[in-house]
Amino acid sequence: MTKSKQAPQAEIIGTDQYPAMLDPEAAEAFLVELSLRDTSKRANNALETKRVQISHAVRGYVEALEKAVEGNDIKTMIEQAHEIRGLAANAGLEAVGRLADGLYKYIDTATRLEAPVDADVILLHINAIARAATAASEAKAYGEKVAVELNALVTHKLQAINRLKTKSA
Amino acid sequence: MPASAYEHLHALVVEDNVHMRALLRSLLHALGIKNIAEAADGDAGLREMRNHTPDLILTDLSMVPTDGIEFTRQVRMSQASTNPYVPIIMVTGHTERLRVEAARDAGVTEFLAKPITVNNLIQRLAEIVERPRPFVKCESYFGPDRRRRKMKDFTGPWRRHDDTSEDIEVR
Repeated sequence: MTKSKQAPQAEIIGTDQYPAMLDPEAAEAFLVELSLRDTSKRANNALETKRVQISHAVRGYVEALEKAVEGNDIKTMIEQAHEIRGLAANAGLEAVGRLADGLYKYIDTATRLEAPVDADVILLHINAIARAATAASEAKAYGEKVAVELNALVTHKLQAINRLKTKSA
Repeated sequence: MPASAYEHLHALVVEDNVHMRALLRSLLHALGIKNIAEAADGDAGLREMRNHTPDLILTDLSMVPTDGIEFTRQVRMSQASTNPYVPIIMVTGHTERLRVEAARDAGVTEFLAKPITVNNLIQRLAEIVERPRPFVKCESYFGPDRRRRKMKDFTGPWRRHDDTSEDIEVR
């Protein structure tokens, strides 16, 4: 195999040629710390103590999202959906996170492609998100299935937008 | 081994969501990193770097006005950067391939997917400490070597002038 004539000149800087994050002794101590069961337990406790606070925050974002939909404020919808999808699972609201992720993908992609957004797709997501955020047992039982179905709808809608854009290009 | 050996470690968390920032701070603290600075976007992160040169950065991807990709690019490429070799972990819920590739090509060291889990964070930190990667400097890129795996059957195309069939690896 011959090399491409365009293969760029790359300088490789070895790990001994730049400052390490930790000196060898500190690195070893840090790795030991990371491997301890107590360390994991402490970190999981830290995660757990934030759960209630994050859960309140997510519910606040859901309310803001509902208001944005009422006001047809697309920019705020994208922002709130983004906040929800990033945080919800760390509050134990996995279904809410997945639903918000689908909503974000749909609105963000459609607006970037300058395509009109389908209000029904948004409403379906908002209703599901609001319900999953407040009815934990329903969310646990059906949230994942609803998210999968709505994700399929988003994929279908985005494919339709892409087809239209390809035709008009 | 005494914990004091690494207690000088300084981390910077760049994240626009105040709750996620607090979560990351708590986790890092629980894992033994006590010096943690925070910034709400890439510009603030760059300013913070001038005050306290971090040994480790955790950054979000989507932030305004300066996102995690541009922040990473500035840390790696800017002449004003106080530590272009600093390990950068990008915390992201984005699964879109193009954005992840853009982040990797900006010089991100590791990715940490949301939702954050303790095990995933520990794995990323251990990877950075245990297996630091060489840096690659060329016209279009400066950052950790993006090739992680050796592939015996790889037959090109060669991307570097000194690649050989014996040492080729792919990202």
